[in-house]
Amino acid sequence: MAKGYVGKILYVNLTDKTTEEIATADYQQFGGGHGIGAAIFWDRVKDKTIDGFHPDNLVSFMTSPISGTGAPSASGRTEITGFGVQQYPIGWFTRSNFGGRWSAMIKYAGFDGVVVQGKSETPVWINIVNGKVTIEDATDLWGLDTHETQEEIWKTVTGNVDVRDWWDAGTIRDGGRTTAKPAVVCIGPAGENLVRSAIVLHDAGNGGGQGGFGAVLGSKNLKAISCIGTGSVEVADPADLMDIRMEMKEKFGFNVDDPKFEAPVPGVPMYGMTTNAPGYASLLWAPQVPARAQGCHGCFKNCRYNLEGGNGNGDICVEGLYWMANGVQADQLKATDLLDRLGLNVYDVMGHSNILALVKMGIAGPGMAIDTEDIPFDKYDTYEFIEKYTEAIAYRKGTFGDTLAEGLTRAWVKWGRYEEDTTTGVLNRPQWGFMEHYDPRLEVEWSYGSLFGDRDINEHGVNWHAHWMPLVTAAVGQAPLMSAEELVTHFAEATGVGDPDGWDYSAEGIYADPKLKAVAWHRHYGRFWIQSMLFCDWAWPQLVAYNNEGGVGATPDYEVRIYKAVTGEDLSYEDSLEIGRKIWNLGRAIWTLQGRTREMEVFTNYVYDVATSAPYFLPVKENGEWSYGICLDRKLDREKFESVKDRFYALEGWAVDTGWPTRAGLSELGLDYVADELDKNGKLGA
Amino acid sequence: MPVTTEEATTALPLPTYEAVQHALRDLNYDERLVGHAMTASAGNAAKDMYGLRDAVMFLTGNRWDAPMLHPGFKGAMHWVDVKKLVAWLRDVVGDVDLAETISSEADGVEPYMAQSEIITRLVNARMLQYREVYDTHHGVASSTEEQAEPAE
Repeated sequence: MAKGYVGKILYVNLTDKTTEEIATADYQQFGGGHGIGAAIFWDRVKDKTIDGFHPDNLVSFMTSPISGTGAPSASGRTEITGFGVQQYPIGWFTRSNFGGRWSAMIKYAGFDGVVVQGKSETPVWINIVNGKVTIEDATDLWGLDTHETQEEIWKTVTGNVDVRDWWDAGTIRDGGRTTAKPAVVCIGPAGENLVRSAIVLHDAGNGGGQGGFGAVLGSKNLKAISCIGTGSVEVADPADLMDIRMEMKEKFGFNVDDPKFEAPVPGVPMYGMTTNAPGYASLLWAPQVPARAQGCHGCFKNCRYNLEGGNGNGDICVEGLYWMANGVQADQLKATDLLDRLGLNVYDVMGHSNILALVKMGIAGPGMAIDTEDIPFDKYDTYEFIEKYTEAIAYRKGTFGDTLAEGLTRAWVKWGRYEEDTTTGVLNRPQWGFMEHYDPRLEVEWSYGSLFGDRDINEHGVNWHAHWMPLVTAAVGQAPLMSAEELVTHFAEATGVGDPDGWDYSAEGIYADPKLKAVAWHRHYGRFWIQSMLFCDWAWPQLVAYNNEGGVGATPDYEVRIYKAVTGEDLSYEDSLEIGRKIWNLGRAIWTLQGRTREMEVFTNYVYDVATSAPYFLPVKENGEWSYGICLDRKLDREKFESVKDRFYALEGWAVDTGWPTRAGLSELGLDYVADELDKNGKLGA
Repeated sequence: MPVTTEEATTALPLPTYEAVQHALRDLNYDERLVGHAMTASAGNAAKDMYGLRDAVMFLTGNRWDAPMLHPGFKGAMHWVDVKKLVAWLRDVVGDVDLAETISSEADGVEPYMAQSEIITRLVNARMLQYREVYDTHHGVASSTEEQAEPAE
């Protein structure tokens, strides 16, 4: 088979404690990561209507051929797939993804991924050392937080050596001694307590957040998967891979000694995604304590920080926004670290601000209709509040904590406020119970993709340039780094969509056919390159690069060059998107069997009924001219969105009346066996 | 940015202690001010402010010249519609002097960074006055000689 793959995937049956090796070659057509995870899921989960907590739910932790090779910003991520428990009303077949070094280490230990199914009667953890697999008793680990759990496993596996010492992990010749610690992915108390927003965590702050996979592992009594290996990954053309890496560093990287592209307005702190300066990913934290940049395995950007004191290490993105009410950075970092240690998904539990709104309305509070019990919302701006609130959810304390542990959307349903508050926007959750991320009325490749899929898509490759760049430059009074017309032209060329109108966010453009092609591209690219080849979303796709000649980004040339250098196989960019479409359609078939219908694919009411009220710059084409529009006072039109569904379903080969995949569409992708199963269940689109 | 005593001097008359207490009271849901915290990773998140204390933290939270370790730090931007802010300060909070000063000095200023810096300066200056009034009422030495550190 192609280089880059180790060649086998570990399957663990937790019910009878048996293991099996699956030949990766059997699934290579799906690439890796999400694709292989979904394909194995399809084959081994016979009843696609089970709940995420059912023992037969199958969870995979998958890598790609690129993982562990040192490919730039494409080497350190792991994809998780399986039935989720977080979404509302149904826990769809879903995914999450985390960075760090686990993906590299599992390959060095001899596997392309780990698949778990079944349920242990008692707490266990999986111990993988250079190809040797044991299922260990986790009774003593149960109840520990995620950081404590990893430290205990490190001690157990290494024989408690000093962190600087060599130890013997050897089961193979010439490959046994290492100073590395095992890479551990684990759950915290929230996962043990089946909190629907529980995450899995690896090292300090690498969380697989969305979907509730922490709770799924908790339901299986699986505390952790640890791996350590001293092997390596065979790369087809190592010299070419190194050349690519150096080339990308030179063209697109940040040179601390002589940066090509510094923040255009000196000191303005919002150009990180354009400069790629080390440490740029930390969201709000201009650290007030000594800090140094760090990154995932093989990354040439190193976008996050380790900070003195240890709180918030490796945390990037929205977890940095969890709670900021008292304005004290040390407390904000502590609150974020608490999330990590208890194992909770910030993008659900940060809805404390939505609950505060109910308190301020006089609806929620101690002894009120929504009884907040002893959670001190009257001390919202104290660390005491956020600590008690977070622990109440993780440990299901009281009726209030127990209700929130079912997920904040389900809490709203239980309180009888879901319809009203998703209509006014007090509860701004546009689809499947997920919190609003980017504006669903404007950045529609994000919202359409989320609704036609399984979760908030969380893919930033378009967004940072289409929205954030013009917003920041307008705010500081600077000309855009690139004109709207130039930007959308780059997008059209780099994606292969070909039509710049795909990135027209005008009031009409968001419903037009070119936009739907851009939405489809986004799903197909994401499914293959981001979620299956596991290129990091914070680096890929790179559709433009302000510090490169002509503004040309790395996409699509570098993706296929990296693939070729590692695997030795030719893959055209067009073919890669077709594999992405195949994986996307396989997922669509699973959602169909789970009960997805066209009628379910609607946003909550506020998306249609409440207009935007803040500037939101995006490219718009009006009277034939491109500009960055301010996009105020916009909402989605129900009728026009129904037309979007008609045309998007047709574009994807799904039946317009049901949204279900058709035989013709699936057959074209080599998924006839999937069509047979849908047909057998009376769910094949006509 | 830190505001010195000199910079904080305004033409605003000192409020009474009662006015300060009134302005700093907690507000209910219908009285809130809504701003937007804009971030590269999370989009525009509506920020409900249930009192002047919340608003001060939000309005002074823009760190256009933050002491970054790196020139390209990502950061975030706090945005508020200045007309709504002025109306809220005047009609809900009750600090008419601050509202009118912000209206006259900041309304219509572009770009937003310049507008925000004016608002930050005026709000910080007003909070120094509040502090002076508070300290005087409680018989403690005035602390307006110190620098007022804005909220994060």
